[in-house]
Amino acid sequence: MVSSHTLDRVDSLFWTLVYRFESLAAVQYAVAVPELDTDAKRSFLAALAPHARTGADAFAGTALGGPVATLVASATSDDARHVLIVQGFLLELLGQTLYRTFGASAAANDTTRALCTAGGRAADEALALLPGLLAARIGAGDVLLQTFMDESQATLASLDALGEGIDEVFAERYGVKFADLMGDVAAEAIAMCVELGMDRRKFVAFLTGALMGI
Amino acid sequence: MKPRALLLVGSTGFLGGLVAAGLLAETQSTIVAPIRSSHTRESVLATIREELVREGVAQTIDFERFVTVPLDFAELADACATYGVSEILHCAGSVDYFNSQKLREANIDLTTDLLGLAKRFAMRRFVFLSTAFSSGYVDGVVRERFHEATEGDPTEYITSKRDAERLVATSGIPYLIVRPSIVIGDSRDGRYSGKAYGLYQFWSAFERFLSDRYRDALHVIAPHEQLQLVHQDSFKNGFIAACAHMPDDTIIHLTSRGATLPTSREISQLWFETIARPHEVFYYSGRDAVENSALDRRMKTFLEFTAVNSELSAHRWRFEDSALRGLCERGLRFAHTTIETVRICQDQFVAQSHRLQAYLEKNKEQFPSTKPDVVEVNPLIGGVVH
Repeated sequence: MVSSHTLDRVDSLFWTLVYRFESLAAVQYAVAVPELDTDAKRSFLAALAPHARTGADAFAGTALGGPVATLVASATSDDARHVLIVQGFLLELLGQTLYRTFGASAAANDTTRALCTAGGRAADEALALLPGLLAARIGAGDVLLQTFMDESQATLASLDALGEGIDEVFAERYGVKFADLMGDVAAEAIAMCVELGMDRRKFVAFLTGALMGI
Repeated sequence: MKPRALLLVGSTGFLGGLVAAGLLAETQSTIVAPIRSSHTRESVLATIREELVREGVAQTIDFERFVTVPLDFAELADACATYGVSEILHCAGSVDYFNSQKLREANIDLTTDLLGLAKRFAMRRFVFLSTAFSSGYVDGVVRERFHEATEGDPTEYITSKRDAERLVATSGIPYLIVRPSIVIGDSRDGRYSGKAYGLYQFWSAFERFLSDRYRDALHVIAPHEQLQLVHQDSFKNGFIAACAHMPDDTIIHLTSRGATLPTSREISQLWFETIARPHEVFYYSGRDAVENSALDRRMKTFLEFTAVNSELSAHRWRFEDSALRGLCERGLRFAHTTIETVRICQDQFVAQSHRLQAYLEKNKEQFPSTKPDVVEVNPLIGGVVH
């Protein structure tokens, strides 16, 4: 159970941001990849909902609104391959990193810590299912790499644009910057791609270009 | 060059934009530029105009000579007929190292289609922008002639450029192939309008990942091999001069003279001695030699994101420059890259970076008064301090 500790504006913005992507994932998983529409994900989303703001002005007064909208647009699709790569792989990895990092912060209150634990567990479960799903639906090695490049480029470029807003709103509270988070996501992604039979050098070159706006 | 119409493909890109500026400044040609729907004539022209303003010649240019058309082959054919296009200058392409699909579409399929257009209108010449590295890894001097396929190209980008060169050369249309090396900022003021390729990737990766705080020790892969860099003003002047003076069916390397070219190590040292200012720099022979456990996560990311270019720079690249020397004898202004001109580009990059300005200000008390110690890390024999 997640306690109902009152969240201040920074925490509220964090969970509003997370909710945007977790609710999008829930819809996309249900339609395109039901295997990832797990009990843990549904239960986390239900716990999260009361702490998130909805509506067009949810990020008013911050630099998050535009980049979040662009990122959501780039991640929205009902194509199973896109959902697997963008939601199932990239955004789950980002979520896992966020939950681990923010949940471990001394600045996190009980509610945030509990939500991070639940979110992390759901992300772990989804990521554990992912290799089998990718192999079955897309393939391995160069085929998977080409699909990854095709499907994720726009989302990676949008992620890059989110950095400034994330740092502005969350860096002081949680003591972590977007470049740290993306460094962790990149490290996890590289390890995972190698396990999936992709060429490490090719994947790193792609990731570098996509994340650095080349 | 005589007044005529040229089809310039790729004017929205970095090098194509420089070529457009050069053509407007140095010729009276009408430039027909196909653009995607995400661009407008005004947005494309803004970048080109900026370059001409910086050169101090914008006021003398008739910008009506720059005509845009949608990037659609039916429209291109109409434009070729309407304007009497006599040459295609193909400066578009993908620089993705390994995205096979994009490379095929942008570097092979597009070239094939443009060659078809050139044949249909019996054009006088096809100018193709390639890369000095299209040979792949070869021993000795890379010649200004066609390269055979080699085993183990460093990237698929290189393979696709070599394949595209062959399409051009076997098309039956008179051709000129221009092969620049890695293009960096202007030799005079360091301005740079490209993306974070090559050397800029190294600087940008430091800015992004390592400028958050001061680090006593930094880790990098930077071999003692010359880094083949060419300034954007030299590229532009060289390209335009090649179009004006090179005979048909030739290839030209736009590369800097080996005698003055700095090594990757010297360029790294310049950065560490003047900007990063650590107490120690650990140099590795390759990514595999780095012991990850000792590094913080940002340092690891920096190394990951600079690894492929570091690997490419470890090869001893030597280029024939006969054609370029011939153009210089005819009066071409070509500033060869030196450590001093790299510094001009570095200074400009740092001056435009708020993060690096903040880094320099915040950490100045911690900077050493002397150059950083250099530690060569060889996993077989351990580290040696110099």
